[in-house]
Amino acid sequence: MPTVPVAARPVDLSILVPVYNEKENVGALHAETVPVLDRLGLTWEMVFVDDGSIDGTHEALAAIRREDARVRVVRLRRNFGQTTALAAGFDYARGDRVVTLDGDLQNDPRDIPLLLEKMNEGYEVVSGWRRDRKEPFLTRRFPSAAANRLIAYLSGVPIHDFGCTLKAYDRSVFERLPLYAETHRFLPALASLSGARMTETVVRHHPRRSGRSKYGLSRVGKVLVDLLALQMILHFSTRPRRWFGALALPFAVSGTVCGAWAAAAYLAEPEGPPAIVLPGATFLLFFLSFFLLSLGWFAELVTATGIREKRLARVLGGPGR
Amino acid sequence: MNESAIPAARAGCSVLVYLPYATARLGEILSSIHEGMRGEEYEVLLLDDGTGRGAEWKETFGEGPAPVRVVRLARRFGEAVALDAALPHARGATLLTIPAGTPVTAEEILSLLAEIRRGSDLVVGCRSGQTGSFFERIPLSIYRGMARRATGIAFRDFASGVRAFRREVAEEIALYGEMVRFLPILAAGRGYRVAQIGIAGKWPRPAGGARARFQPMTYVHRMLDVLTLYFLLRFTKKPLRFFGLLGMLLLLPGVLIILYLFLVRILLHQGIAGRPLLLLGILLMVLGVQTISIGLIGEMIIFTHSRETRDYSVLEVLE
Repeated sequence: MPTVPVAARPVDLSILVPVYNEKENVGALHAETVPVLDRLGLTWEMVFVDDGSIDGTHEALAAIRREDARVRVVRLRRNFGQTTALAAGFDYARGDRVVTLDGDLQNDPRDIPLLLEKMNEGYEVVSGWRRDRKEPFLTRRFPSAAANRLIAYLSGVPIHDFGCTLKAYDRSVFERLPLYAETHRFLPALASLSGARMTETVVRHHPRRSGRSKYGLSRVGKVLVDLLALQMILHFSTRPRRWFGALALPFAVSGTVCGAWAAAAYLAEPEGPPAIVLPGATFLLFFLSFFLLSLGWFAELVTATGIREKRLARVLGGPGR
Repeated sequence: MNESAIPAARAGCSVLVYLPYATARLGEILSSIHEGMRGEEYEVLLLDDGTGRGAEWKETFGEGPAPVRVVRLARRFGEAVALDAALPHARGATLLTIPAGTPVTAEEILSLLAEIRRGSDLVVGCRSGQTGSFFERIPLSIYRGMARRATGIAFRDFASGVRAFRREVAEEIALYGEMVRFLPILAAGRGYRVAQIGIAGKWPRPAGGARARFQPMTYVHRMLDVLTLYFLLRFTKKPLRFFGLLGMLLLLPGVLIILYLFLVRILLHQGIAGRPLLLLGILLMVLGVQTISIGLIGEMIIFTHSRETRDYSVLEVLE
């Protein structure tokens, strides 16, 4: 939970920028974002999360902070990765709404009003869609497109671009986002868990101006494994007993059939050769079904204790808003 | 607890002496502390971990150059709990832990504190002469190597109970059970600056005293530590990656074996009841399903509590 007391919410909008070794870019990013925000007529803050940069990004951020009191800098002790940096930013953000922005200027701050407009229409999560990406096709765009299709299919969230950092969240949603390990790629899918009203909007995309990309092809395998895990979690976490029960059922049925068959064979010919295969299969199938069933109960226990504290399911328009 | 007032001031140094048993050397320990800390603002806390001798110590050693206080636990809880319980009672901004069994000289205390002043967040006093027998050295070198790969620091003896650290390290890292022994590694993992210095770390053995015997349980504990460390460093946040992979490695061969036997039975009309392979296949399938499921439960726990646990450590906030 947020360790920073968020007693008062002094601003309407928090711009959240996780940065890692972006010394050359943060100044320009700040300079380009401020005029856009000033035109909105809202109170705002800009939260930079310095994810353990070692290239002097922190000094650059401190300089910006000295000039502009609306900038806040959260400096992490080491590089924790983008998901964790985002989690830290969400914990420190004071706004009713949060817009997350890439630190490398590939997103365009001028798109922020587009996202906010969508939110005014009643959406709680607005995701940016980089329809015209300025990146090499084979190493970046193709794997990313394939991953996006897969994530959309498996999670049932019809969004084209899960990887775009430019997103807007309502506080009621981002306070509950389960962020851990490397789940930032699945944020829209995770937001859908709490029933957020979601949409996407086409945003501009620029090629990297300076600095180095921190992504490569190596992440594909990890994404696949994480996706599989996420898929299971999405299914199992809300009603685990039912899901494990559904898994256990075929084993129980076939176990019963095998058991009956074995018993019948024995009764028909009690003095016959010792029966091994059928009783063995019965043993295996019954073991699996009982194991899965009891695991379902256990999982129910785990999620029940968590959900009571966290209220994953939001009540729309409830007093807790 | 003898003194329950929780101090507000955070300055100076608190020396926590962990005493799981009554030791005749307590006087020696205290005098080297008083000598090493001379001129500093400090206090000493004796952590009476269920020995019941706390009141006596307070009477004997209470009068000294600095306040000596006693934190008494109702029974023996172990080092982690004792440190955790003492933390709110300690006034210092820097904490120094000294276990009863390891002698620390005044010079060693000075160099621990000097290292903290130089900017380290945690300093371990590594005991020398911890070679042990050949069988003890194998797991030791394995887990030193693992710790080095994970943290980039070649620890000589990270499990040593002699450490100095800034207060925020202990406040941020939850200490429980055996985890206290991995404190330097956990701290380094969260981005704290960790250093080490060498200490002698052995009471001089009395002439004719018995040599330490080889204890097989120590070996078992070390091996378990290696596993804990490996799991802790790699997979705490993604149990499904670990257990899922392991489970697939068990489940797949199991399925293949059963499939093979099934085909042998159906196509070649051979009996398979007498083949041990059948039992192996069943065993592997059972183990595989179990392992994957455990990973799934673990992932669920992490998932449902993900927003309550802070994975990050903040160095500073500018606002």
